[in-house]
Amino acid sequence: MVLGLPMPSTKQQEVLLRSLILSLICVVAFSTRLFSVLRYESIIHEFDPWFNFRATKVLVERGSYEFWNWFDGRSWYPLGRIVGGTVYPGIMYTAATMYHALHALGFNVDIRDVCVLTAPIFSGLTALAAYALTQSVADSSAGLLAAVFISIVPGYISRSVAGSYDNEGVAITALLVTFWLFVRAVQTGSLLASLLATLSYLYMVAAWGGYIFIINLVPLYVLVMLAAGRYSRRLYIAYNTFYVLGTLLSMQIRFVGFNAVQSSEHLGAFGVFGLINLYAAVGWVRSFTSERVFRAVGRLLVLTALVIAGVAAFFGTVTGFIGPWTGRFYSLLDPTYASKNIPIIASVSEHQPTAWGSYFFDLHALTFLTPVGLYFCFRKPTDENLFIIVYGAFAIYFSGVMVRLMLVLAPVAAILSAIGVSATLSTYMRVLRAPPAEVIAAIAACEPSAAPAQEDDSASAGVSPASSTSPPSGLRHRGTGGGAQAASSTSTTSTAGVSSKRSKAASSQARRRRGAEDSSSRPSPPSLASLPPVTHRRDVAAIMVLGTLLLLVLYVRHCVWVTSEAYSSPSVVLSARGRDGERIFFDDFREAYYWLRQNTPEDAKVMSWWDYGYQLSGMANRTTIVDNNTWNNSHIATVGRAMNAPEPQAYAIARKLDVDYVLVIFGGVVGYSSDDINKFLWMVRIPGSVDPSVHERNYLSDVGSYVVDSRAGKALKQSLLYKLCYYRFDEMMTVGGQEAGFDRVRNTMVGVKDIKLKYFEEAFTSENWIVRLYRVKKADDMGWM
Amino acid sequence: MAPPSTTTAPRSTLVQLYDVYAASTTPTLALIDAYLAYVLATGVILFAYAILVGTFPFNAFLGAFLSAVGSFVLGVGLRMQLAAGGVVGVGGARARCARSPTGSCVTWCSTWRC
Repeated sequence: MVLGLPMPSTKQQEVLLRSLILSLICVVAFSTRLFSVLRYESIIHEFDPWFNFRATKVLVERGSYEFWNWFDGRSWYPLGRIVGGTVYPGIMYTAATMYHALHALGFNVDIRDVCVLTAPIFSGLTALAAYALTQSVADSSAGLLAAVFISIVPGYISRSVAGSYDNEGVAITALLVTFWLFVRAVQTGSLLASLLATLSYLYMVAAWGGYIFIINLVPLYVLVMLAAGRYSRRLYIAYNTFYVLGTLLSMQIRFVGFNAVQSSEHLGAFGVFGLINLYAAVGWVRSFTSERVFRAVGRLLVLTALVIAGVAAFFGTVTGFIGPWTGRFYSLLDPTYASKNIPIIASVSEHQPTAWGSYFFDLHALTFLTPVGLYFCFRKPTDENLFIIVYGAFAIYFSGVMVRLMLVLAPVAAILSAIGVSATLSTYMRVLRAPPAEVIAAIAACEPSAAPAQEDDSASAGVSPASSTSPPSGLRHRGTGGGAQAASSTSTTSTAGVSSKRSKAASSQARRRRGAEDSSSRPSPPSLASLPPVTHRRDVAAIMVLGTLLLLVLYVRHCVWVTSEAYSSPSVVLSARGRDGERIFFDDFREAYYWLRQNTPEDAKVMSWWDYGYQLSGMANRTTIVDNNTWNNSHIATVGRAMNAPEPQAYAIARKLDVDYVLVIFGGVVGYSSDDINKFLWMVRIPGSVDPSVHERNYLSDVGSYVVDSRAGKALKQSLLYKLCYYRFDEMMTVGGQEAGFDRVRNTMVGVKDIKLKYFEEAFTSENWIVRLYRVKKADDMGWM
Repeated sequence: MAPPSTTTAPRSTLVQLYDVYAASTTPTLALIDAYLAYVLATGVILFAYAILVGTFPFNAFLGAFLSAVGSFVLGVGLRMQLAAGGVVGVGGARARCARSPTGSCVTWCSTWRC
């Protein structure tokens, strides 16, 4: 009794400990994502999050109705974009809800801060969801490990740092919650759990286009269950509720709309729906008829159903009612499809196949712990285990197709690794927690029934000192103190390999004799039979446990290092280390965008490559021609043609699009390698897929390489982008030992000096020449330029 | 009933099937089965209409059809639970609590789109 309060029971202690650990995990998950906020400032990162931020501002300022029906005339000029119907609104509504909730409580936070910190907050919730899911599949200790792994795994952190206000930040939470609730539904057959799973699925559909993964994985799981002969009433109820309600609910999101019943990506779910109903019907008919009657009718029933389904599918596809797989998802099945047919999908860096280095970088120890977890799942297959196995297998495949999908692998890698590590640790900790050899010997000495047992299987390693033929030798071993353990365990080394069976036999025999024995002579120390069978040597167990701990420590170190060095860069502010190690910041992007914002008319239209569209709209608040949404390939091709055409042609296109300013990114002065010159070939390939007069060959040198010096292709030297990037570059001293005009990214002298522009004039160049703005000259009233 | 031949004329098999079925179902289950048959018929009629006359307005068709499918599926779930020995009272309260929001979800979502 402490302080007059009763000592909490072991169960209560466990609950307390678990809650404390989970709260700490949430805190860790939140804190590890704050590097960029602490180093730079609270700013939205990269490209896509700027659009989400702008959309959230519209939602918060103008209300839900305006947002749902928002037509944005300031992007994709002159086409405009129906934002309300082409956006996944989940994250905007989430941030807006938190914003309003905080304001209602009296905290008048800025919407930008809410947006910046949305992802870290939800990462804590993801850890909790991973705990819940793993607990349903395995046990709570595996759950805790899963929560820890997922809270710091770099594959997930990369898309959910503070400032990365992107769909995946909330979508992964929704994914895990949906999976957890669905597994619970299959486990318990509860209609309530299925309903909650469906509502969570609705949130997932609202949040991310990756909901396709769920609507294909769950049917695949059902298919695997049917094939494995694990059909049950619970599975039927869980899946059918999920499918029917899920389809209905997912159609409420305008972007999905009728795709939920019309696109090929959802067809799998429908097929499995039909299949499981057919299976249930056949099983029901079989339950009340005789075998003979059933065979006659059953085959007829199944055949009719399959024929109807086949005919419907055929007609649906032929008439175009059921759309084909969209390019983005088709390229998951055939990874080479995009590079051959759709250059714009192939050009996105996130869509490239994953290298092995990325696996280790993003997952570290989880890379090789995942198979361990798979093994343990296979050892005791249950309905829930099967789900994790299916999820793991498909996540591993898809992560190999596209780097971006590492994000989908990270949670299941964490879960499987947790299962593996937890099972390993329990095995070896059990050995370590078993009483030492001396104690076992003492117990053996106290129990007379142990003697006949040990004569039966003298080679049994299960109860180790009992294998020594008489208690006195055990006592002798005890007498030698420290070396005793090693000595007694050496006698068991030879049998350690086959120990498990024999040890079980020994303990079961001992148990039987124990049962027959009069219990009055049982001493207070635990009986031999109540001890779990010792299957390994203690020193082996100690090494394994310590090794696992070391692995976990290294994992944590790696994750924190990766987060700090690789994934906490805002991309809007660049940094480099100077010669004396200090950090230098390049704030060129914001400098240029704010110049645009303050020095150009409100309705100025800016043409740039699509990468910068969202940032332009968000920070400069000007109309853009194309942006990261990339919904219109021809429009992007037009802009690309303007960039790769000679100046007069480019001017004609710019005038046709009513462009006022052209923005290019050029990294040659500071060595920033993601500039437009390096992206130029995509500005050739994408128009090339639309306009047959563009040949990539003309832009390459005589030997076919892409260079910018004097050997550059003729079309390249004449192109607008080349001229805009290298205009006045020959006056610029970049590197000490070289002449003026040395491009630090391509490491060559620029090919064309003294560039003259006829139709464009330089408006602004940022401090380090990273962003360059040009004004499109317009003819005045007299027709003069 | 004359003993059926092993080379089954489908009609007599189906009649025999019906007899076996009628003998083995309790009144409660038979009631639920009648309801399920009605919902199934509704769904079939809806689908036939959509194929023959056209799907405009698609919202309305989807709403009606999916709510028919949903009701059918939930009814089958209820029947499974009762057939497995659950008395409507056992877990029935919880099941009913679950069924009503699920059913209302189906109805609400399918009608909202119209």
